[in-house]
Amino acid sequence: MMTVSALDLETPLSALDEPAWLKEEREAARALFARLPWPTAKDESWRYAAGRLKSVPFDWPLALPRGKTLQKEELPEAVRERLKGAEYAGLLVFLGADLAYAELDGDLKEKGVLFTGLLEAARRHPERVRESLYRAVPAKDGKLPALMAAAWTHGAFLYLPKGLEEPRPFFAFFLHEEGTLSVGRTLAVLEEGARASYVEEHLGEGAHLAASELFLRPAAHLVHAHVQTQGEKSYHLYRQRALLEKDTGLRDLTVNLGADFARAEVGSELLGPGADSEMLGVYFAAGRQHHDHDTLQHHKSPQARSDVYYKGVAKDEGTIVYQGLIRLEPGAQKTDAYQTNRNLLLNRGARAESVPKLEIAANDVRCSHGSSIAPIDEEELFYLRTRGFSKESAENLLVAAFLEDVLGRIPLKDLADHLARVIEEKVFREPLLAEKGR
Amino acid sequence: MANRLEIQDLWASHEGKMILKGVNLVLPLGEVHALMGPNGAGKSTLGKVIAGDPNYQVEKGRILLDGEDITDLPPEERAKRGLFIAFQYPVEIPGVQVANFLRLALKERTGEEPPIHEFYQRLKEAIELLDWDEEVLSRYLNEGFSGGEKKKNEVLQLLVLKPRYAILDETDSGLDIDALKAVARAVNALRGPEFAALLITHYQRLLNYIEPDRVHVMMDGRIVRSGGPELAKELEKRGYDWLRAEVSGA
Amino acid sequence: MPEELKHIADDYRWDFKDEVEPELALKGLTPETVKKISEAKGEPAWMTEFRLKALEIFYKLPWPSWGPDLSELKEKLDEFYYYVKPPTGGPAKSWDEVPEEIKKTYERLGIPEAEQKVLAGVGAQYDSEVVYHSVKEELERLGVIFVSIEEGLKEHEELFRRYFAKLVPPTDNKFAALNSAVWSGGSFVYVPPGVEVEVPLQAYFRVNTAGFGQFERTLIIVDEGAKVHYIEGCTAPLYTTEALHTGVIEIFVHKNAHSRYTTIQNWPTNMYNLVTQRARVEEGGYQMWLDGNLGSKVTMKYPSSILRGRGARSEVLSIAFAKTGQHLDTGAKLIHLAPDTSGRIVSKSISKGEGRSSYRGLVKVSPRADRAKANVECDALLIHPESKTDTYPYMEIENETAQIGHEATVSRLADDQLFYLETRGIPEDEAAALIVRGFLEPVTKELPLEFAVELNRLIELEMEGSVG
Repeated sequence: MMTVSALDLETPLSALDEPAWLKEEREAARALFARLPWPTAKDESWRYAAGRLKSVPFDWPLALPRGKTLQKEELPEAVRERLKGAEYAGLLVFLGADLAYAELDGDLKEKGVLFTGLLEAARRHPERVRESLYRAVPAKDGKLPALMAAAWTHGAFLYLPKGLEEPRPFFAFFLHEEGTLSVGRTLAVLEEGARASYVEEHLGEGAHLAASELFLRPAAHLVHAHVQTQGEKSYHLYRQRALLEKDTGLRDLTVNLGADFARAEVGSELLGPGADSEMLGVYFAAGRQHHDHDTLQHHKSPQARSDVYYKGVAKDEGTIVYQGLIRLEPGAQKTDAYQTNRNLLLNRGARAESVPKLEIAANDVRCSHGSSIAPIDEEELFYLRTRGFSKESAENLLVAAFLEDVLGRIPLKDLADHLARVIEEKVFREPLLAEKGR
Repeated sequence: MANRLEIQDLWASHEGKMILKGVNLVLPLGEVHALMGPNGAGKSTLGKVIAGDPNYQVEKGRILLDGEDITDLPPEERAKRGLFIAFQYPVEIPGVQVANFLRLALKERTGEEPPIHEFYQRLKEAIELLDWDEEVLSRYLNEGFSGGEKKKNEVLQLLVLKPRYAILDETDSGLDIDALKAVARAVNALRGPEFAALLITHYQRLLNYIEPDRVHVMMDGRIVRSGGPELAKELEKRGYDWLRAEVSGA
Repeated sequence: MPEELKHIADDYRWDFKDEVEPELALKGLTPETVKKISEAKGEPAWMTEFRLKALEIFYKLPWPSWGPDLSELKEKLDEFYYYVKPPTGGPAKSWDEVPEEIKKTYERLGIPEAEQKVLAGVGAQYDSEVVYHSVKEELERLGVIFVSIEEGLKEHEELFRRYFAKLVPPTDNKFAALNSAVWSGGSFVYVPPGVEVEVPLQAYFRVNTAGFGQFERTLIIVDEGAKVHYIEGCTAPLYTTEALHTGVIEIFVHKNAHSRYTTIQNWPTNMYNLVTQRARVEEGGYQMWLDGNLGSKVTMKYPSSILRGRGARSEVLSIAFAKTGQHLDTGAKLIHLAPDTSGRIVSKSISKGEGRSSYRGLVKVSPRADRAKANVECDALLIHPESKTDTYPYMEIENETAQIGHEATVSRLADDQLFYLETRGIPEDEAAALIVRGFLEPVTKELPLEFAVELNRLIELEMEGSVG
């Protein structure tokens, strides 16, 4: 096995079977990566995460495609469990950097829908990929975006032609492998008036870097979820940018439940009137987990709307961080922009940081934000206990209730139920560390 | 002593202030008692202490449920032994649907999921008895409820959870006459050899619809007088001052 | 927009300049300047050393990497006067001793009026030296010390040294270091245990030399169970060169003591106003900061309360009014170090023309601060399409029993409100002023009456011709 790390990219990546223009793009990103400094605590966005970034093993060997494929019945148990009874339009399963399984409804295929690996798409549909790739998450955004641009080896490509509406979701599962650093990239393009739901779930171990670029052409609507339930010794660094043209709708859910250190940078650029971006977040740090979030609602057009609603829970010595910015450019009049962050701390040792920011350069707007950090309400707890709930059951019910309004806003019932179960398991799990006395 | 809730010389404090100063009370199964008294007498405190509110400190005395000392048990253990309290000011818990909450509460009490059909039958009957709308079942627990609705919701839980001993803390206050009648109907429906209730109330009003077996009067943290239903009527007529004078004179 | 501003500037009655020749003026930021300042003030050696050390620290500390643009200031540091001594020679004991020229200035600022009404004592700062200072007999009888900071050092050295720079050391930030090196003027206040000072202590500040930086330093000690309200107001004439003001205010609020610090600044709009204000609050104590920022080109000021004792409380109420060419970066910090501490921040900002107002705040709850509570409300009102506002609230919570909330809203001067008032016969400008005053009301109601009146007058002036 090749043991070249992501820090020395040239050798492993030159072997990838891909068009020359892409190789050039990678090369430029690699040069940028070499030049740009690592983020430090002095970078506002990394204020609370820079310390944990140091623990990410960037020197682990880079996961490269090995040509491994699976039959449907060979899919890993975790994936089969998730698919039980679920209806879907398409399915991709990645094992490490390999696209091991791909499935797409034949009818959709005929209508011009593409749902395949990004690397495969770059070879077979270069024009479709090239016009959008790197346009939303360019290498110049920073050290990590540059690495993400230079070193990605796998990921999903979803393309919906004009006017196509698909009610069933498209699923992609990523199973990351222990001891490797993997870099994935997803590109979703919805042409004018198209409608789709895309759910990406990250499981397994290792250290993973992910970038997602979402393009919503006029009047397109996308339900999107990025769900991270990796093992608790793994790492997950994610950056997402969605470009919303006029009259588009994005309903986005970001979930961090696993990993030792997970960070999600989720942003929407509102580029046309009538664009509407609803961005939901759910996270739960237990043990010594650190879940870091950085959202951006960037209004470049008047008459658009955006709403961020992020809710986090911390237990044991878990740390949850939310930073978010609403930025209204001059002229972004008649904007509605909201931002809410709520945090629940379950015990001594848990901590939360919340920094909801506004930068407003237009006056005829409705903007507000709210943030709160609070413990489990003692009165609520007592009330439930008088009804016979044990302390743990009552806490579980209150955590579920706390997250209910976020999960309830995502129109993917199966996913919401699955997440509720994962969360419940975390609440009931024995405290990792003895609770310190008051 | 089985088949009774018994309070023995109970002293309890809140934030360093002694509120209960030697309460003695026996509530036998099969009976309904009223607990009356002026504001600040400690009636609600007694209810909360019996239910196990951690904000109150038991300084002395015991609470016996069917002969078992429950003074130091956590609230949920008391509930599992058949104790229920309808709060004066129930909390709001957004995100928890009423029906789901009741199903989980039954499961917690019995250890097993109630059969779905039976459960809904029980809910339906309770809703009807309270002259309420089933729509309430899908609402979040007490969120956005009016004061009267919150009280009815407490009684709904009482009907569905079917405890053996119930304490109703001023469940009558804030209710219009129809709601008051509905609550009384519910309590009367539960009356029987396997049910006992302690009605904490200021007024005779509720007692016009639920005839108590015994009436206790609390003043300054103690039960100062007990009697039959006529005691409540006398208090309604004459207020508390005469009793206060008698007690302090004695 | 510029025409309109000019119009306001012309009408601006505080915008004038007096003819007073300074005796001694020190330009340039060097150890020599620092030594001369210390010498001129006849300071003990430890203070001279402290100043020189602070200057070294100033050179070493980085400029802030965030907030308003300070690049012009960086270029001009050596062009400022760091010490100016007015010709009166020292603090005046009575009003008669104050020179006519300066009196006239104060008259137009309304000081004698205020004196008649509520002043307990006046520490009026003219340039960097206290020129007029009267302490009512009442205060002296109670044992309250209210003197210039220089006099505080001379007359109460032991007390002074016990507290000075203990809360804001020179290493705290670049501007605190600068102030520590060249400080001049300010007040020294000590309120003995159990003494409640009923009337507010007031000090007025003026800046009067072109290219001149003022570095006032105030130290307030409120002993156990004592109570005081200190008021500082600044207005200053307009000059063409950039001016600099960096103050350091330290307040020690002892057990069960009660302290209020009110300041309204209306510096000229070419002034850099960089101030560090901090209070340490012990068990059961209370600190209120009331902070109004109207003037300056750039303001960076975040009054802070360190809640160190059980049950300590603090409130910060602030107003900012930013016009074209101004960036007011203000806010507050609450540091909860002990159980049952509580705090509240209310910030109201108005941006007009291309003005930019920013709220920057921190609420920190340490692991020991059980049941800490803090609430932050930030409301921004934008008058014009090109007006700007930012909110940067930081919440760092390390205790699971804490209850922390932050809410912010951004709104504009609403057409429907204006229209409604106009249909009731109120002219547009007045209607706008009325709405702005209503917006600020939750904070202005806490202001002493004459300040509130003054502020309302300013708002009326500002709103003239700004809508429609």
